[in-house]
Amino acid sequence: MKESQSNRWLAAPAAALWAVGVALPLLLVLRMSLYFRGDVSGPRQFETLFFEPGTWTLANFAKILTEPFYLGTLSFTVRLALTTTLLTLTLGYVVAYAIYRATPVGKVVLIVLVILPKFTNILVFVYGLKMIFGPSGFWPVVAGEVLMLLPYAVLTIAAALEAVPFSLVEAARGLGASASQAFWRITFPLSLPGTIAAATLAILWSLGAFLSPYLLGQPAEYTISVEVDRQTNHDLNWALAAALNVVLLGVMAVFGYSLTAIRRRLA
Amino acid sequence: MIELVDISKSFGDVIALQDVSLTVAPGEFVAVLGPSGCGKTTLLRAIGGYVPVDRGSVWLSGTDVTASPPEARRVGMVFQDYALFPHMTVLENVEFGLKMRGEDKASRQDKARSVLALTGMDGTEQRRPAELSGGQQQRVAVARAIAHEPSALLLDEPLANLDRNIRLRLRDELRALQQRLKLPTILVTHDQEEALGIADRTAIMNRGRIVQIGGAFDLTMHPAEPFVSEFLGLTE
Repeated sequence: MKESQSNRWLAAPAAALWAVGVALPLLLVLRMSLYFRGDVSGPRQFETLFFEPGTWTLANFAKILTEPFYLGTLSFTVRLALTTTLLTLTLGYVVAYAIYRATPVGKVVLIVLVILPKFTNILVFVYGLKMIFGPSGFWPVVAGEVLMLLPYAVLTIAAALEAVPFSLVEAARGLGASASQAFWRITFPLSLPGTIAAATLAILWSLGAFLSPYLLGQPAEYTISVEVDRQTNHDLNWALAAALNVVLLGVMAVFGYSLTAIRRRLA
Repeated sequence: MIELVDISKSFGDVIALQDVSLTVAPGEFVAVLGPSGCGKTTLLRAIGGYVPVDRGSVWLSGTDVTASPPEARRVGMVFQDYALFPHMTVLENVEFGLKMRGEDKASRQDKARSVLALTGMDGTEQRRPAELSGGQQQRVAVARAIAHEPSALLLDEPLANLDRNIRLRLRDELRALQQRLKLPTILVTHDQEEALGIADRTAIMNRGRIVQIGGAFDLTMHPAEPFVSEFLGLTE
């Protein structure tokens, strides 16, 4: 009893950091999303520049969930995230499988190649892509997102694959399974929980996509995060920006929760 | 019948098998004994089709399978770590080979159940491998290896991970089962007591070669090379 209590205190610094760094800002965002928009040019513009203090309203949420512009941005964000995740997983699985089957030296080489782009500054990385892709558009945005996410997906899936002893595949082959049958009946199902973990990471990340859409896309490719930036820094409608954030968090929670539930059921 | 004709295999500079010839008659139990790195596991993997040989040929039941992939060879292999499929039940593990052969569900489950009964594992059909003890896992691995009616049985140190008491009992059971099924069987081990205690003939391997093959009496009384007597611990 005494020991468990003293152990509990060991979590205090982390809990405090979480409270100050995560919970408090989120609560502030939540509160912010419930203000009326501020008056940018009226007589009280300096007190109410970003939002109208002391007010409570759901008008920002009503606006997001009724106006075609915001609904369109939201559905585009989800579409982009799903496309990105699907491509990241497919490519990530192929590369991870190559790592799984490589010789010990080959593994190291491949892993270094996979994480090497992460040593580049993200802006340099994205501008480099801009030079490669030329005109901006949907697929350059997707490519930018996929390339940013790929290393995480590859490492997560490779870790899952490494936990599958190759003797299982050999055993299946010896029992009459072809190489592809052995893969689909043994390797793939056993690596699925790790693959879903990679999917969770990829979708949560790409739902919050900002840099790629902002730098590689046209306004047609702007995501919720880009719109949050616009409302925060250009239109100075912080209440709406906060509400957009809360809606995005809600979407992330739905995806994150469902994927985690699926993974738990498989594991 | 298992026939190996002058098979050789190198990994880079390392010679794992050098002109190895071996014939195992139907129903015969041969143990391959040697120190680690002597090539005995490569020998087994070459028969199973997991390692392509550089030279020589492998024959199973009178058919040349040298170029065949594992799935075309129909051998039953028991791996050292058992290699049971962790996401499948015991029954699904044992019926896997029959399923791959396209047998219908009712008949393959019947066969799997009878093989499990044969290895004393009936009643565990719906359990997962992780819920079984080491000895039980080993029995399931043997059941899985014989369920698809293989032409040969290959055992890669099947008893190495078990406690001594269980090991001795399973050794006798394995021998009895093999006699009943009349399967040509090769067991690979580094444990001479295990080899001499179970096999009709024991092949002693060293540096990729079979140094001597014979019954326990031959090997102990007429060792062909100093290595044999040294390895069997006959010299002081």
